Amino acid sequence: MFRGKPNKGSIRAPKSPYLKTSYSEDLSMRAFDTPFRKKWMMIGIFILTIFPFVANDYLIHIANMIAIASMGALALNLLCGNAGLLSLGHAAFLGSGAFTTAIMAVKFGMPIWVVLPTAAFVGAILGLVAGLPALRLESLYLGISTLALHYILLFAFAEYQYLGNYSYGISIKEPQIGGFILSNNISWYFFLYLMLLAVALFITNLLRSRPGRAWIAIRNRKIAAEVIGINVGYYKVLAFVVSTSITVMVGSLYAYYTNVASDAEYSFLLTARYLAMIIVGGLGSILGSLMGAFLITLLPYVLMYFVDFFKVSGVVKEYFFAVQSGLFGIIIILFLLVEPLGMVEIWRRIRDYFLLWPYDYKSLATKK
Amino acid sequence: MVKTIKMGRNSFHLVVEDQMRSTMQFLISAIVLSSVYALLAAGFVIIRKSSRVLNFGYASIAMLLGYLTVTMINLVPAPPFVSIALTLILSFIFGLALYGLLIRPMVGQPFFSTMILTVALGIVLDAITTLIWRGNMETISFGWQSYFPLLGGGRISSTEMISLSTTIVLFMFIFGFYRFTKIGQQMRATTENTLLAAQRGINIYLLTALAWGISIFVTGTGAVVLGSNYSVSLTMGVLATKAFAVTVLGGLDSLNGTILAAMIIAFVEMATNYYVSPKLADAMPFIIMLIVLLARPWGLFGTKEEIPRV
Repeated sequence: MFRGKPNKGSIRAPKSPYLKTSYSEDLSMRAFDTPFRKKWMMIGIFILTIFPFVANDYLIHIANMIAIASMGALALNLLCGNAGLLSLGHAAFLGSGAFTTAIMAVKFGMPIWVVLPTAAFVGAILGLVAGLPALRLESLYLGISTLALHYILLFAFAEYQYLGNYSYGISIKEPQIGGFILSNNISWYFFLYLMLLAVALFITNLLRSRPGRAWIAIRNRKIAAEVIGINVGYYKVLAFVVSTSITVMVGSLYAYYTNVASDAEYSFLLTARYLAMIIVGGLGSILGSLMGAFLITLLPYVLMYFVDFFKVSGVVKEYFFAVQSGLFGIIIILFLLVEPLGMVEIWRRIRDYFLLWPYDYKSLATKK
Repeated sequence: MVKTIKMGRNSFHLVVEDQMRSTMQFLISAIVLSSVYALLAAGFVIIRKSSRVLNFGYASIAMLLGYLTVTMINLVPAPPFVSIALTLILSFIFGLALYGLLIRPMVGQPFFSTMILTVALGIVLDAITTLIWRGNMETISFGWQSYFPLLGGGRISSTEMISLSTTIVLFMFIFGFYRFTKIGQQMRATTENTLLAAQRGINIYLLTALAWGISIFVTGTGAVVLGSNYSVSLTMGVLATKAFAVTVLGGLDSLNGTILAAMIIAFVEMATNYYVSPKLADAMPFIIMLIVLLARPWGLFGTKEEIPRV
C-alpha cells in the first residue's frame, strides 16, 4: 500500500540506552545515560540541593565531612579495589596535602587555585615514589613499603612542625575563590559537593577507559594482562600517581576546611578508617566508596548523639575516642567475616529482590 | 647513670674512663633493645611461617599482654614469676582463640582481607586496653633488682640479665622445637608445601592454631621483657611496630635472620639516638626497612622465591 520512500527516522524503534552502536557513543561520558542512573542521579542531586536549606549548621558540617571522606575513599578504592594494590599510607598522603597547603598558603601566601593543583602535583610525585616499589614488589610487600613511607612522611611532618615552632599545628586561613571567601559551612558545602561530583565522574569514566580496564586486568590475572600487551609496571605506577594526587588534593581541602594542619591527625588510625570505608562499602565500587564513607563518617556523630541522649557518663564518655575506634575495628572485622563484598552487595541483593518480586529467583533456581 | 668520679686524677684519664663507661652502657642498652626486638619479631615470623598471614595486630597484642602482666602481678598473691608464667599460659590460649575465632573463618579469602582483619583486630585491642587500663604508665617489676659491675666501668642490672637470658633460652627452645620435635618437623613441612602436607595426613589447621599459640606466647614474653626494661604504656605499640622493620630486614620467614636484624636495627637506632637526634632515631628503622624493600625485598635470610614478582 505504502509505496513511498520509507521514513528512516520513524521506522527505527526507540533506542535502548544500554545499547551502544558506535565507538564514539561507547567512549562518551556516562552520567545520565540509563534511565536507572538518570532517576537516581536526579533524586540525589535534588536531595543534595535541598539539604543545606533545610538542615542546621551542624548537619551541614557533617555533610561536608562526608564529602571529604567520600573523595578520599574514592581515591583509595581506585588503588586498592580496582588496581588491587594495597596502600597503607593513605593517612600520610592526606597529611602531605595538609602540609603542602601549610607551606604554600601560609608560608608563600598562595591562593587556593594555585595550592590545589600544586597539591595534585605533589601527590603525583609522591605516588611515583610510592609506586616505584610496586614495580618490584607485590601485595604484601607493597603494603609494607607504603607503611614505611607513612612513618617517614609522618617524621617529616613532625620535624617541619617542630622546626617552625608550631606546637599545636599550623593554622590556615579561609580560602578565597575570585573574591568569594569560603567562610561558612554552606558555601563550603556547595564547593565540596561540586568537587565530589567532579572526582566521582572522573573516576567512573577513568575506570571505563584504557587505564581502568588495564588495572582490572592486572588485578584479576597479572600474567594474562601482560601477555595481552598491557604494560604492567606503567599501569601500576599510574594507579599510584592518579590515586595519590587525588588523595593529596583531598588532604589539602581538608586542611582548608578545618583551618589547621597538624601531624597528630594523620596517624595510622586514619588509614584504618579509610580502609574501613572501602571494605564496608565494597571494594572496587564507586557506590561502595560513597556508602562506606557515609556510614563510617556518620558513625562517631551518631555515637556521640546516643552518648548525649542517654546521658552516658564515666569511662565511655571519658574515653570516647577509644570506644569509637574500637567500634570501627569491630565493624571491619564483622564485615570481613560476614559480608566481604560490603554494603554494595547487600544493596544489590535488595535491589534484585525487588526487581524480581514477587518471583523468588532463588527458589526457582533450586526447584527442578 | 651513677657516676663515681675519683678526684686527683688528671682530666684526660677521666674523659677516657667516662667514654669507656658510656660505651659499655650503650652496648648493654642496645643489646637489651635488640632482645626485645628479636622476641617481638619472632612472634611475627612464627605466624608468617606457618600460615602466611601477616599479623599486624601484634603491637596491640604486646601492649595488652604487657598490661595484663602488670595486673596479674598485682592480683595474684604469689611471687611475680608465678604470675608472669600464668600470663604467658593465658597468652598461649589467647593465641589459639584468635586463630579459631578470627583467622580460621578467613580461609580461602584473599590474603589482603586477612591482613586488614589483623589491622582491625589491633585497633579493637588498642581500644580495649585503653578502656580497661586508662593508659596509665606501669612497669613490670620482678620484685627485686640489683646491679652488677661490668668490665670498663658500666653496670648491668638483674632485670637486664634475666631478659637477655630469657631471650637466649627461648630462642634455643624454638630452634630445638622446629629442628627435633615431631610437631616442629610437621610445621616445617606445612610451611614448605601446605597441600602436600595436608595430603600426607598432617592436620594443618591444628598446626596453624598451635603456631598462633606459640607466637602469641613469644609476643607475651617480648612484652614482659619490654615492660620490665622500659615501661608498659600506650606508646609501647610504637616500639613494637619497629620490630616489624626487624622482621622485614631479617626476612619475613626466617627466625635466624630475626636475631641479626634485631641487633642491626637496635644498634643503628641507638647510635642515631645518641649522635644525631631522637626523632630521626624513631624513623630510622622504617628508613632501613624501605631501603631493604627496594634493594633486597626478601631480607637478609628470607626465602627468595617467596616474593611474588611482577
